[in-house]
Amino acid sequence: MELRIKRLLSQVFVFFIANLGALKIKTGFCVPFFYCHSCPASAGACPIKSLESGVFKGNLDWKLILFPIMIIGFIGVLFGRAVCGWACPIGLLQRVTGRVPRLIKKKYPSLKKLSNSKIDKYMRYSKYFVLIFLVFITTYFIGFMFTDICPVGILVGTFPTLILNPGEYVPNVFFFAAMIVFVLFIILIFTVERGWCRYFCPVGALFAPFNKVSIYHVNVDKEKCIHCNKCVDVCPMGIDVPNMHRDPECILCGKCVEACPQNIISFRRN
Amino acid sequence: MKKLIVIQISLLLIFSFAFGGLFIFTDVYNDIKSSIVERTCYSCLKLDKVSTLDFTFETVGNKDHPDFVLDNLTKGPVFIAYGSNSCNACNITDAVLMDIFNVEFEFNEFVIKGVNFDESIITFFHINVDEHCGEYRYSFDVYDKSNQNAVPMFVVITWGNNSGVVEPCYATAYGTLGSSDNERSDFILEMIHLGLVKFSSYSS
Repeated sequence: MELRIKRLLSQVFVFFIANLGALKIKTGFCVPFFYCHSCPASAGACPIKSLESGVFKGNLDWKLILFPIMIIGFIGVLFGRAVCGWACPIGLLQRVTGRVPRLIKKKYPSLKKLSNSKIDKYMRYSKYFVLIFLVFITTYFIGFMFTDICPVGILVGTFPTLILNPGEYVPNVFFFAAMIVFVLFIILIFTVERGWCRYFCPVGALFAPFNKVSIYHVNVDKEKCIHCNKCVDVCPMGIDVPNMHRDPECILCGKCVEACPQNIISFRRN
Repeated sequence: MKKLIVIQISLLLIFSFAFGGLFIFTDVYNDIKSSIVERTCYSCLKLDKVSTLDFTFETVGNKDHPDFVLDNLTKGPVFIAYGSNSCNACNITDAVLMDIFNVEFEFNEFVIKGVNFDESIITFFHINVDEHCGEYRYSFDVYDKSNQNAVPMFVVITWGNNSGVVEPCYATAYGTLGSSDNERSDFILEMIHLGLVKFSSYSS
């Protein structure tokens, strides 16, 4: 079976697991990816909400902070950021929307330069800013939480609730701010492949450092590389694959592994 | 390479033991389940349940009214505001409640205060469903008539005529209650007013 099919099956399977709440299966685990507990079918908690609850307005609750970090840490040490590529439902969504920026890039090759520019490089740090500033600092000091404006909450929580309960709910003050962020999110994922994962996902920011030490990772035999750049062309995260070594941005999707004509890119376990 | 393997094994052990320890020896699993997964926060949902001030005699599951409600119902209507930890919708409505009931409190504080309204006393309770237990937490399930399991939730309990019998009745409202503080204040004052009107009609 092709890797991309395996990955699709894995993403669809995880999507169903994440929505077991529809069968009244609700757990106290934090899901190790980006998904909202306000989704009517959600089976677990958003790890970001748990972190926010642990620091809300200066009331530290270490259990709520450590619990999601331990889950993400354990999976991160094993698989690095593979969760983003193989499990996250928002990753699955971006897998679909990612075709659009790919087509745009083909039509307008000059845009390729933009995505390889320094702006892109620095923008990738935004997700750490979102994690540290909007999840921890503003929540701790003023009670402003990222989850109150989270675009994924709008997508999987607000919209399904409105659709499933017509006329029973009305938008509140949080809706309009979150809608602005949601529109920007939609524009982003339709213009930049994996734009959310690259620049803003706070769960991705939690996972990214584990790529440096993860047991599973993507390995490139640089000495045998013929620099055809086919791996770079297919990489949804825009990584300079031939020169990467345990790159924090790598989501272990395996597209480069499949694309390499020399078969010198592989999944490694060590 | 050996150094990396040592780091990997150490991290795996640390994370798995810490996770196992938290799971087995603390109540974090139940806390997350009850406060994040099962209970909705209207700021996370970004929606409010449409609330109408219809009074009803039937509690959820025909549960008994809590004693603290019945005790205070002899003096006047009872107004209860339910909130939870890390809920900004609750913070928004708390600010309005503090103004109306002339009381200062934090989101996790339990509050009970008798307040004069139109020469009648209304007893105000602020209950944090994550922090407060016993009959205060139980009352949340008693008055959640739309089965929302969501915060913020507001209840006014007063007396009413149930087919010739005077019994406690209540109205429940959910969410941020409007788009501005004025709207929220008007809604809460309307709840209080209806509670007082019924109380003065049926309490004697």
